Amino acid sequence: MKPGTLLRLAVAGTRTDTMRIVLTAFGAVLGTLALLSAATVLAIPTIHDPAHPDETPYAPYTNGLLREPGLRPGLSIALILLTIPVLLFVGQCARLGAPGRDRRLAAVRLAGATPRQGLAIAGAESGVAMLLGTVVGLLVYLGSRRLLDAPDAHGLRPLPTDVLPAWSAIAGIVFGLPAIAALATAFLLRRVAVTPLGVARRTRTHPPRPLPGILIVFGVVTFAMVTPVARYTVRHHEVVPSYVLPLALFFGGLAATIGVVTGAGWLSFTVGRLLVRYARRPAALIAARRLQADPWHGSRALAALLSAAMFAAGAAWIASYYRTEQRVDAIDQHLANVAFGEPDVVDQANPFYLRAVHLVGYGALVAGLIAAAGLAVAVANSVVERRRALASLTASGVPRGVLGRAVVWQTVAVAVPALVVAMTTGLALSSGVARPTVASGGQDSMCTAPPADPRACFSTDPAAHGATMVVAPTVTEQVPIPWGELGVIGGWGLGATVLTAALGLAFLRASTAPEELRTT
Amino acid sequence: MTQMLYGRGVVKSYGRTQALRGVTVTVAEGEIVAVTGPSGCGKSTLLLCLAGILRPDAGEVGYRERRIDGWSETARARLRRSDFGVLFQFGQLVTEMPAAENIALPLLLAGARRREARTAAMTWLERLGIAHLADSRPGEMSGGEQQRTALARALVTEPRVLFADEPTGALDSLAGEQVLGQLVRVAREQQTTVVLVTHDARVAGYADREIVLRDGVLDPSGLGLAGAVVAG
Repeated sequence: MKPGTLLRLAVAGTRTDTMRIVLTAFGAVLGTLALLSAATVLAIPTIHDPAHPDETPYAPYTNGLLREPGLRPGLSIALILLTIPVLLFVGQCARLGAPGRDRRLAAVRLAGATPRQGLAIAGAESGVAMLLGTVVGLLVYLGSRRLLDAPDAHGLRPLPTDVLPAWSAIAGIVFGLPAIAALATAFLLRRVAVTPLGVARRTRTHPPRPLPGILIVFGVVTFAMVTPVARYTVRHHEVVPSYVLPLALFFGGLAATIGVVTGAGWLSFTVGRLLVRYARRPAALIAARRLQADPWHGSRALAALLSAAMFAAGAAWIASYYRTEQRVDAIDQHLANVAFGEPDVVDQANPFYLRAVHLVGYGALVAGLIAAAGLAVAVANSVVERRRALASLTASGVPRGVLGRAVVWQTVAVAVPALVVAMTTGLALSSGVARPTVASGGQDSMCTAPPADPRACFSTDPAAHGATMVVAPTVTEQVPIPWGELGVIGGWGLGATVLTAALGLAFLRASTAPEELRTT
Repeated sequence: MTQMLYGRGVVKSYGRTQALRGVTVTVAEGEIVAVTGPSGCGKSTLLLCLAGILRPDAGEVGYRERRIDGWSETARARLRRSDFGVLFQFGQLVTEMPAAENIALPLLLAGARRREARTAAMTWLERLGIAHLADSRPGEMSGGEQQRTALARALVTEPRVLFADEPTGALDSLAGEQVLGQLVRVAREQQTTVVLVTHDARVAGYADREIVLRDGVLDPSGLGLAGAVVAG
């Protein structure tokens, strides 16, 4: 098969396929921008003048995160993490028009394509759309650099528009993302057998098991071990290699995220089982049976939203921790000043870390927006895919309202417990590294020697020599659970879910029209 | 006549349902054979096994003295592309592509240049009297036109064997007669072997020989549909 034939077959399709290509390309644009931004931050030189590295760090920026070389890798990782919801969104879009694509692949196989050629066509479908997106993303990036390059009077820039990543890195992103997408498609098709007679999917016959719980526990325990291990190594003068902590946090976080996402499958099945037992209305019963029939739908659809909620809840806890720490430090200073009879002046807290955490929160919000878009695609697609069955139900007298409520039930009944699990996991992970109790003080003391023994304070036991000891009290405070922020995150997640379910209802009206009975 | 295809003791099951229970058949070169029998007797399954689309659970399937049932899916797909043509009742065309591209597809998959493949496709469109449909998509054609397009696609590689599973099953009698007439005419001209599955006595009447299946085995009485028509 010549490349031209492969390309022609990869872009053959209906309006749904065109929509899939456009949405996939849009996701690729976002992913490319995030990765190019990360590469740009990493490309900022550490030092201005190699001859005098200690004197002139390269930092011509107004933003503190960019000025500080030590924080740039963290910022890059945060930008790279933003591609996760983008890739999940792309994965969701890849399911658009799946029945038509299956039929087309089977027809191509009947025309004589080998299994490998079928796989190549399926991979090229994703790869071409992604390549389109990465090229557009590169053009947007290059154009934005010029538009946003606005140094102030001191020559400081808000963004690193003065540096460009190496062209090899740019090429790696522009061509690497489509290659990854094509490989991911081939991987996802491992359960699919495309034969000349049709497309057969090996479905999971057993119901989901609560195994994801083990992954969540593993992640939480890994995070909880960080502080005790750090204390132990300090106490015993052990040296732990510098890569251990980031690796532990990465794998712990990854395990917990996978646990939360796949756990939604188990939750779907369990909610479906409970609904079947207790529901009395047709809408809830339809939703319950669909949840049981395809429990992984919720897992796929909610994956990005749950990940974003988990990170947002974690960021909310860390922010609460920093606020508590600032408060405790202020009280500690105040008490020490009073105890030592010094002027009651409290230093202003450094807002840098709190701002950085808020930035993570904004990142989670952006991720959540992308996730909501993915959820909207998933809900709309699930309605459109079943349009013939839904039209049959409507034709046989089932009111549209019942089907609409079933769509809402199916989405929201899983989202509520899944969001609770995701946010709880986020809190548990963060409380492992930012402990729930903040303590300060208890170490500063002031000694007043008696006139009879002016050197009493220098003895091993000043009190025994008549000295007066004043010790600043220890201030301990529990980090409060940030209920307000959690409420906002949960409300936002639930609101996004309800909104996307409502979007599904918009498609429901068209999908239950009598004309859809003739859909093949 | 030279033996072209054979199946020996072919067994095929779908789960617990046994579709074929040890069927032995041979098809000679240039022969047109109709496989008939009641619904669910295993006609289509036998055709799919002989065409190398399905792999039998037991028994042997061979083509020109070479046993093919043990070949990999890729090797069987290549054989289908080079030596076999397949025609089904419906669902075989890529609905997003116009007729000419659909017909050219097997040649393109085999690595032919686009212009060569298009020329070959146009030749077949003219030969079957549907050249005016070259740029029409399947959704814009009648059932008979779609089936003639599918026939052109099955024949464009000039196969040695054409497998047709109820090729006129979804057509009215007039359109069915036209498609079948063209199929048989071309097969006779090119000395193409045809294995034709049908439950229609008139369709079976076009064949040189009839194989009758009943409950997954050859019917020992051998009284098929064509015979029934003659007897009637």
